[in-house]
Amino acid sequence: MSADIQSRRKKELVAYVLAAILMIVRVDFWWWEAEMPMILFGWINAPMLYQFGIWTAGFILVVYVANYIWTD
Amino acid sequence: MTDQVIVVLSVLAAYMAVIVFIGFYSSRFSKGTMEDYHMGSRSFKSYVLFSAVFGANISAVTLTGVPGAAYHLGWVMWPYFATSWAWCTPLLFYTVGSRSWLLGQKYGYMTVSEVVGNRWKSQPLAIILSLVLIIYTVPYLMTGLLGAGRTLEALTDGYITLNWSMVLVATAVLTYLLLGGMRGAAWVNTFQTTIFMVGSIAIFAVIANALGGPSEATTRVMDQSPELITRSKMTMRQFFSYGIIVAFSPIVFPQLFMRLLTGRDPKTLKRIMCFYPIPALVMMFLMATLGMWGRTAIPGLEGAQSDAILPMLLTGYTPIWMMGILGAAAFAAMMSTMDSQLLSVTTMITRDFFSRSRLAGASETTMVRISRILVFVLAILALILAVFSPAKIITIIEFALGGFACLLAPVVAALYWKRCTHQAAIWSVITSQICIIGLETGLLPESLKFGFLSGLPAIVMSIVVLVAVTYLTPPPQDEGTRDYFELFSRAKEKGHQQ
Repeated sequence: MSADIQSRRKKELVAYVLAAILMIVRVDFWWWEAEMPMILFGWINAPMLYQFGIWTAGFILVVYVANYIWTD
Repeated sequence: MTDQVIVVLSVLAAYMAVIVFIGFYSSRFSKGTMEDYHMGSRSFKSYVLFSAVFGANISAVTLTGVPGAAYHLGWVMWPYFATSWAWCTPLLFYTVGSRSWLLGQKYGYMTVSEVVGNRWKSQPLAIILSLVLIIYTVPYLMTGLLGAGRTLEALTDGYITLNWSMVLVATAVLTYLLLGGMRGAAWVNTFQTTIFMVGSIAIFAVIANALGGPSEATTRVMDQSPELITRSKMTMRQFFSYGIIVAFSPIVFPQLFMRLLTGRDPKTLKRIMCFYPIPALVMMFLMATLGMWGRTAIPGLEGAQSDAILPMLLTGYTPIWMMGILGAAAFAAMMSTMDSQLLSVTTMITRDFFSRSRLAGASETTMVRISRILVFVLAILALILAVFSPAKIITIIEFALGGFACLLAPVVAALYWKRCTHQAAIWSVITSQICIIGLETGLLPESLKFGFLSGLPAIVMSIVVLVAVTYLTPPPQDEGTRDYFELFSRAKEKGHQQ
């Protein structure tokens, strides 16, 4: 097996581990059921921003996999 | 008939006329073969493929189920879907889609069952998988009819009843599907996806403005229904388990899987993979937020009544002329999923059952004719189910998605795990389905769910059984395994050289 294929396998593994971590940390148990003030535009609070952050991290992961791991 | 009914029906009639025309026009390009009717000759470019895939995935769940559930549960409904499904499903386009696409190109496969069954040349596995997929797709198909029916009923103030609304929608979908097959559906979906993405943003903007702006609408919710902001109506375990289920299931939806195989080349698949998460987030965010605001704007809805919150907001807060246009957006989302589901179930029946029977020797023209009859019969079946079992959409979906998600383990094993055996795949499918059905029907004790949705223990069961039976059975020596992994190695080497 060539070194490049091995390196791609490593990248794949890292991507899947990161995906698994994101799936776990999307449950923001520390804020769950807490009354949080709206801090952005009067209708977005910190837990919402955190969830946007999870989506953003997932999106970056998808773009990375498409461009650096998936070869045609 | 009121002005509202006349305007709504006129705009919807114009919309239906456009999609039927597209279906009719696409039929001129038909080659009359199974490959063309079911797969559009695997020639779709990026935007058409994106629309076909995204349209197949965005359904009554998004336009009625999500706002309906957000009415009772709050904003948590958008991360319920968007912070797992929106990016994890595209990731699986790579994991499952890339290798399945290669197999589709080389062997002409069209269905999940063909890809998995032929890995071990196992007919029983292919048949079991097809049966499970069909059993879950039909109730899912029913939700499309229910959602579209409830929308039309609400937009016309009950002038067109739920049952007649569903008949009208089924007729429109059948028309363009019978005429154009996969190509017709994909072209119509391109129009529909554009309509519902633009339409959803317009719906949100108009209703937010009518409610006094996002800040004021949210403040009212905080004052009158604070539990919708704090997420106290949903447990963390439910949120976690649904994240897994909703992320794992779409890639094995027959309609989505088939459409991934219709891509012209891997570049097309990569492009849609990168674009997919954006509209997925936007749609869920807009629809869940509207549903939550609807709680204070139109209070007092019980259970499944809230599935109609979006059309109710439209009738209550938008000018009459706009209701028809925005209603068309809701219709577009629901119909795009229904057509793909009808077509995929038909493909599975013809490819996985008929092609293994006496009909195997039938001509392409005969098979296409049979496919068209099947599309019609399935639409009628879904209509009958929807008339007699109008449950809450999100409840039907949570069950169906759990069932689909259990199939991911054997699918991934077929593509990546050389040591895995067909016995393991078969037992993984059977035991996980027994588990989820047992938990849902109460035949198995509730305590086995550990507070999660029944899909999660069933997914764990599918993985455990897959691994255990694999090591209890001798390694596979079949031709299918050899062919698959040789093809993957060659593709890897070739990709690396480029």
